[in-house]
Formats: sequence, C-alpha cells, structure tokens
Amino acid sequence: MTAFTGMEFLFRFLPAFLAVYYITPKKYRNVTLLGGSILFYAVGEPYFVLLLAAAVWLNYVLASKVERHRNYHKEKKKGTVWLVIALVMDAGLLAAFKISGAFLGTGILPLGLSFYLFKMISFQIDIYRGEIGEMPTFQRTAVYFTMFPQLVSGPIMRYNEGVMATNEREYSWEKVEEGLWYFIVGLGTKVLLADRLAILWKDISVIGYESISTPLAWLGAAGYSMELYFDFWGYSLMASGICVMLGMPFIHNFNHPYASKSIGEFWRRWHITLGSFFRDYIYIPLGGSRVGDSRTVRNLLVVWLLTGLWHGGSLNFVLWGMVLFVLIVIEKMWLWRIFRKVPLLGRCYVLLLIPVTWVFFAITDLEQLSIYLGRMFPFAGSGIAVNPSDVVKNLRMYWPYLLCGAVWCVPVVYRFFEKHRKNPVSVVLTVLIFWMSVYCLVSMGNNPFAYLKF
Amino acid sequence: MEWIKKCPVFFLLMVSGVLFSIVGIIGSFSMYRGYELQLLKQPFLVLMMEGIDKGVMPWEACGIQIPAGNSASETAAEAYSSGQSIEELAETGVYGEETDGTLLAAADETAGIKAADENVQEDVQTEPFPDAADGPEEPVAYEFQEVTEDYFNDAVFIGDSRTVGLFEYGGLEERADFFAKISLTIYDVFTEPVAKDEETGEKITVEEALSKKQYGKVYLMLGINELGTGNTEYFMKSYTAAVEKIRELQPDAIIFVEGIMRVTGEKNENDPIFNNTNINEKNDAIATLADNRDVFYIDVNEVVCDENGDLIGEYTIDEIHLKAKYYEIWKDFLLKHGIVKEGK
Repeated sequence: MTAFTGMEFLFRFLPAFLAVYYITPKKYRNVTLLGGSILFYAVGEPYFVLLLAAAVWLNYVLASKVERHRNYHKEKKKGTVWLVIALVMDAGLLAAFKISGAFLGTGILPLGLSFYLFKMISFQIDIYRGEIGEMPTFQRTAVYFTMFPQLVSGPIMRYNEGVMATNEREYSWEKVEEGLWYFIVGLGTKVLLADRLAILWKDISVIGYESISTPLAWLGAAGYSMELYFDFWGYSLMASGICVMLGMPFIHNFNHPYASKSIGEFWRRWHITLGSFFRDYIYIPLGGSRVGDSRTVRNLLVVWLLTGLWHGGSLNFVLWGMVLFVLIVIEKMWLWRIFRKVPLLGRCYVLLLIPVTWVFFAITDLEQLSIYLGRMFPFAGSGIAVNPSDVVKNLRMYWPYLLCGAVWCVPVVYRFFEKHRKNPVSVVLTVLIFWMSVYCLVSMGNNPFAYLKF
Repeated sequence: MEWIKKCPVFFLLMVSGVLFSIVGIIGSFSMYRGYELQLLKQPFLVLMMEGIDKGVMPWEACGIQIPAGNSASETAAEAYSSGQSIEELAETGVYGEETDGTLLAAADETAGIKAADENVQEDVQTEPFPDAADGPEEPVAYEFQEVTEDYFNDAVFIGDSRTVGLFEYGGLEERADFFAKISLTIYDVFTEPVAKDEETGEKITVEEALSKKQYGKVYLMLGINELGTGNTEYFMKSYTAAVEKIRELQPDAIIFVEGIMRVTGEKNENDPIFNNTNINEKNDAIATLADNRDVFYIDVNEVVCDENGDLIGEYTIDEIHLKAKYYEIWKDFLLKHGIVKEGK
C-alpha cells in the first residue's frame, strides 16, 4: 500500500483518507492525518513503525530541550549539547542501517528512513537556530515527521514550509482540483514514461554490457537518465499533489533539471529539497564558498561524499559522488566563464555529461560499470559479439517513449500544460492520463510476466 | 452544482470511476467471471481494465457482440489461459453442453481437450517407430553430423525472444531466415506478421512466408511463453498441428523441433510457472514428435546447462535469455547437429 502507484493506494487508501479528512472538523484534521499516516506506514512496515514512533518521540523530547535553552545566552551551551545528542542519534541511526546494509549485506533499510531522519535533523537545527519560532505542539511535530505523502520518498520539506496548523490550511474545491492535477501528472510521468523506459534499460542489461554497440550504450544512458528523472519527479509530483489536496503548499522538488546550463545548476534543480538540505546544514556551516578556494573544494568534497553515501552504501555511489565533485569543482573554477558567455555550450555539456554520471549511479557492480563505460568510450577496445544494428532495433521499439520523454523534459511544455490545466481539452487529457496509467498498472500488475515477455 | 465547475477533473474522475465500476460489477457476473479480484485491495473497475488487456471489450457487457463464433472461441482461449479448470469454463457458459461428463466445445479451436490428449497418445504410439510395413519406404536411420555454416543457407528459424537473440547475436542472419518475435507462441505462430516478404518487404505471416518459399530445414523453438497457458496436452495439440502444417507447407524440409531452453536454478526454484519442471515436461512431449526420418528433436540444453540441468548462471543476466556473447554456443550446437540426407 505504501506505493502510490498501487491499486490499494489509488482506489482504497487515498479516497477513503481524503473523505475522512474532509469530514473531520477542521480542528481535528491533524489527528486524522497522523492516524492515517501511521496506518499507511504500519501496513508496509509492521515492525519498523515502532522505530518511527520512537524516533518521533525522542526527537520531540530532545528538540524541546534544545528550544528551552536556546533563548538564554548563558544556557546556550546546554542547548548545543542537546542538539548534538539529537544529531548523533539521528545520523547514527541512519549510518547504522546503511553500514549494516553495505557490509553485512542484510539489506534491511526501514521504509523512508533516509527521508524522515533528514526531516528530523532539519527540525532540530531549525529549532536550535530559532528559525522555528515557538516550540510546536507534539501533534504538529509528529504530523510533520510522519505525514504519509512525504514519508516514503520525500520531498524533505522543512517544518516552516508546510502549514502544520490545521486552521491555517486552505480548504477548497479548487485546492483539491489543483492537487489532483499534480498527482495525476505525476502518476502519468511515472507510469507511462518512467516504467516504460525502465524496460529499455533492462533489455540492455540482458544483452550483456560487453556486447552492446556504442550508440546503444549512449541510448541506454539517455533512456536511464529520463527514467530516473520521470520516476522521481513523477513521485514527487504525486506527493506534493497530495499535500495540496490536504490544503498545504506545493513543495518543489524538481525544476526541469535537464534544461540547466551547468552541472551546478542541474543539482540546484534536481531533488531540490535534498540539495538545499546539504547546502543549509552542511555546506554553508562549513563556510560555503566564501572561505577561499581550497576550503571551498574541501566543503564541496564533504557535501558530495555525503550525497553519494546517502544514495546508497555501495562503492559506485561514492564514485558517483566523486565524479560530480570533480565536475563541479572544474566548473566552479574555470568553466563557468565560458558557460556564462555561451549558454548553449553549457546546455550541451550538461546533456552530454549528466547521463554519464547516471551510469555510475545505475550500475552497482564496479566491473560491470567499467565494461559499460568502456562501451560508451570504446578507445580501449571493442566489445564481444556486438550487433551494430542493436541501436536501430531499440530505437524502433522505444522511440515513442524517448520522444515523449524528451519533449516532457522541456520546461515550456510542462508550464503550458500547467497554465492551461483548466482548459476543457486539458481536463479531458488529464482524466485520460489517469485511466491510461491505471490500465498500464493493471495489465502489468496482474500479470508481471507481461512486463517480461520472452 | 457550482462546485463541478471548480473541479472538473475531480468530477469526471468520479463519474468515469463509477461508470467503470458498474461495468466491472455487471461483468463480474458474465464476461469477467473467473477473474481474480481482491476487493479489499482492488476496485471493481480493475476487472474492466483486465478485460481490455485480454481483448474483452467493456461494451460486450451490454450484450453487444462481435461475430459470435469468433468472440466465443477467444473468450474460451483467454479463460483457459487464465488457468481455469474445464469445470469452471463449463460454468461460464463458454463450453456449450455437457454430456456424460464429456465437454463439447462451442468453437472448434478449443474442441475437446480430451480428444487432443488421445491424439497425442496415438502419435506417441505410431509415429516414432513406424512399422516397416506401414510405410512405402524402408526406414532410414539418420544420425546427427557436423556441418558447416553454409548448411543454414536454406534454413529458417521460427521462435520467440530466444530465437530473436540467435538472430541478433548468433551470426547466422546473413544465411538463414528468421521468423521470430518476442512473446511469440505456438498459438499465434501462423497468424502473427513476423516474416518479411522478400519481394515487397511487407510484413507477412509465417504461413504466407512458408507458402512462398521452400526451405531445406525448418527450426522451431517455442513453448516458454506458453507455460502459463493450459496444460501440456493443450499445448501439444497446437504444437503437433503446427508441425503438421509446416510439413504440409514444406514437404521436403527437415524439421528440427527444438527443446525449450531451460532457466537458471534460481529461477527454477522461485518461479511457479517458468521453471524447469514445466519446461522438461513440455520438452519430453515435444521430443515424441520426432520420427528421425524428417522430424528431428534437438535440445540445446545439453550445452548450456549445468549438471543439475539448469541454465548456467554465468550465461545470463535475467535467468532466461543467453547473454549476447553466448549465442555462439547455440550456433556451435546446431552445427554439430546437422542432418544430411542423400541426394539433397
């Protein structure tokens, strides 16, 4: 049920929850949201829901201590101590699960752990810094930590960005409609594009990377780049759409990253809530880019090492983070001058290099990774049993998805649809996207083998 | 009703959702009967979507029928494919009558699974070792022998994604013809447009292609996509008919019926359908079609499987298909299993 694209969520949990939420008197809607979120999580993680509850409670207790001491200058140190305890606990918990997963191979990672712990860390620091004014009530804090739209995969919303007071939320038919539009567009992006492109990536792995032609290797990287984007962006749109339906503001997590003019910009437009988390809580406290070149480089190294590790415990993620670190340093030191003068060059640079970085992200086995890269840049040698026409075959099979995907990456297209979403044609199109997505989910879900026909 | 203007998408979703659910509910008593539905987790409209996926259109619920015989046989085939027992089919009314426990099919395509069973039995008894007195010719014992690649100059390969792989990575594409497509089955092998007209370049069916050109060898590997559909007798009825049809269209060709390539041990253990027990059962049945005069059974599993009879893990990523570089093993196997007839 924890997947937004499951029938159970789409046709059972979500409608029932929305109905109960809106029937509940305004004053008690947080109770409904909290209860619904716990139920949502407990169905997916019947045991780790206790861990979540414990983390919520402990973080609230510690945050109260931090808050109590922050306003008195003399006691500021005590507040800092409590903050450190809270941060060590949250970061330690995350590290413990990630390390045990990476080294012991247990692979147990409680659902959404990386996301809700980051929310908790941001909450502690925002309390310490006084960015959150009064200490919120336990109920509001618990709702913030656990609210089901963001629980599993973010966005990592800040406490201040959400409207946690029920009477300050905006409840109207227009809001529901607006949220529903984001939700459906997100669903379509994920199901109709990302899930289809995922099959291309799978097909390529079946051939064996040593036997793919260089054009196919690039096509695969491009397809994977779109798949990853549509999967996560679609999911974020769905999550934020639900928040809007509940009367909260829309949280931006992606801002058409593939239209960026530099890799640095790309990362300010991709997974925005994670990027700003690292910026506000790691990079800037370390001095950011105002402390001289060598320390800027050090700060970037820390941020990208952590970004890599956050995404996964295996070595390829560290490598991926390091590749981005190097690219961003080069860009920050030298290339930015060129890109500022010739933005087109920057765009091409992004579109050429980002897919290469995603290959590091996608292939967890280092040997396989090097084979794939070897096929992308075939200077060292040729492949084995390569069929040069493989790219034609795959283009023939996947061109509709690749073309739609490329068009859907263009900001203007999305903005046009968004702006004219009330137009009757758009309304019908939106409804159509919903049912087409449901159809695809049913035909794949009931018959997983349809996904992989032989 | 002012609110409808404020949220047209919401309103349309509600209306269409209710409508689709009604179709699902009505259909659950008729055409969607036998579909599985967990009401706690799925809405009724899932039935409609599933129906469309299987080619049963929603308007059929309202009694609008596309030419009767056709749709009945399709429904029968579909229902059978969803793993229902014959008894359930009888309940749905797809099968016309029940007499003395023998079911009579409404459409001849699905006619009498029992009868098919008997046919197979007959084949088993008579075909492989025919009495010398039965045929006009003396039986000649042919043995597999090593051949060179030009052996495939007059060959055609018919099959599913595995054969597609052989086409793409086996290095035979210049010599032989390939009528292969992902998810091709023995049930649609003659009707799917998987061949190419050599003159016009148009897509044509295997039946048309085999009528136009005569081949020296026909290789057939089908059966893995069919594992979830019906039992071995049901499968073999179509398989036998397919081989007979090839025989008819290609009277002089040597027909190689190929054993279905197995899956890896891990898949074998975890997959209730696509496992080696099911594959071996089909392969044993396919092998009975060989008469060693002009129909021969060859089994590539001899060279791609480990001592447990599972596809070697190293050879595959998805546990089903060979990686590109290992198709050569298959080709070498074929080269070692040529049949050469005197005077041909």
